[in-house]
Amino acid sequence: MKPTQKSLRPHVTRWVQEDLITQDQANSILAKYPADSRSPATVTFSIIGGLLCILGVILLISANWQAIPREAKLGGLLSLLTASTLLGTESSRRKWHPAITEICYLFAAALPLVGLILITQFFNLRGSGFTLVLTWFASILLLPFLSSSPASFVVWWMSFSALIYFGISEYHSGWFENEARTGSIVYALFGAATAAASQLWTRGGQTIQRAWGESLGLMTTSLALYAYGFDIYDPEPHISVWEVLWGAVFLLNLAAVFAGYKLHRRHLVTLGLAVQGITILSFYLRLAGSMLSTGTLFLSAGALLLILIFALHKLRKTILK
Amino acid sequence: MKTWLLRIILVLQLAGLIGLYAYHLHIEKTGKTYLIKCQPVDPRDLLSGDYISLRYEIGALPERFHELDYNNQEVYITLQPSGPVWEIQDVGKVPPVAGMPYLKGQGNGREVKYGIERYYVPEGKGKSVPNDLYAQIAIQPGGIAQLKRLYSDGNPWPK
Repeated sequence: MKPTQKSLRPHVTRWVQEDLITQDQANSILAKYPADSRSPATVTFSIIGGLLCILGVILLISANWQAIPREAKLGGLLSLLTASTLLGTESSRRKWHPAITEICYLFAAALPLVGLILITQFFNLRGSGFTLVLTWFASILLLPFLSSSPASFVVWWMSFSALIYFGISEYHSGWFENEARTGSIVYALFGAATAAASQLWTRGGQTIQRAWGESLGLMTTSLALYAYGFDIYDPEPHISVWEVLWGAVFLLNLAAVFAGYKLHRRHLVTLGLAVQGITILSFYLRLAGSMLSTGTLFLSAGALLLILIFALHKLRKTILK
Repeated sequence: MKTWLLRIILVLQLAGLIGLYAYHLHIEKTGKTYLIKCQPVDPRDLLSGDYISLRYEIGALPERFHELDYNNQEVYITLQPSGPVWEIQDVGKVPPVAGMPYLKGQGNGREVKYGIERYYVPEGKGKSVPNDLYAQIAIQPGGIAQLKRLYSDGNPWPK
């Protein structure tokens, strides 16, 4: 248990009476410690109690879900939506802890989708996923720009990304041979566009949103190029351009590391090195996979992974120094 | 200024969700209903709660019609009564002019989906589903189907 003014006062008073220290020194000693603190046991049990209460409410609602009238379900959701938006704006205005603002705006961005899904469940509707996500996207279109909240921006980006997915699968699956290849190409372009458009956040001084945009863009483009030609329903063992594409992923992330170093953006250095590590390991597995026995492959791949983690970590520290 | 705009967005979101709910509720309460024969397939969904997937009799085109393209083609199915239930009378790429009720669906070969292939049931009720199911549907303007209730042996299911 940490010492507090309350626990120290009897000792300090006695030291003053015994002329070991002066009253001023006693006051200075006491001022260094907090007035009072709860014991770790109290804090621990309070957290456990709070979590149990929250879990209990969730379980009670879920167990009686079908018995709850539709209007009550929708009313609860609309109340949550209203509370999260209003609390988010209030928290932002009064400069409360940023985490409160972000959690509120996260809910404000996600709850319209929950509302739409709830209504489809009420009336047993199962229509177009594209229409559902489009309605959600439209309902939060301006939210990240008005709230300046990174959390709502990430949800906004995810809804945009989902919109592209449903758009491809429902309407334009055959643009580039099949759905998977079309998806890879469109997502590669989308990632690049995200990273480029994120630079606009600089104007408003929103560097966190810019960092998220750059990271999401880099990851999306890398993943799309990396997975080009991979179709889980129609696996093709030989894709003639995979070396070129994986090489492009490596070079793209090398450029990201360089840009991160020049522009002092740590996230680009970290992410770029991590993707480069994955690409190197993938190259090795792909090339060595057919030549080595399973045991040798596991052993060499594990050793390579350890070397990569150690080397890239050292490299990252050197770059960011 | 931004706070006011955020509040306006909130009001629009609330109005949109309430409006959507009211619209479907209105169709459910006031729309003319039709009985369609169906069968349960593949029950349960871990994420969305218990539901049963349904395969409708009108979800498969009879042999007398040409097979549709395999591209989720938009089709309009005109219904005709056959006893207490309704079945396919005609298939077209445009809505019929007048007369019989029709449904808008998405066709792939001989399969037509209407967006009502899922029915949510209370927890645990999706495990034993009778095979002789009849779906009571309401039809929104434009031929969009809305599943209202299921019947088995003339009684609402699940009870």
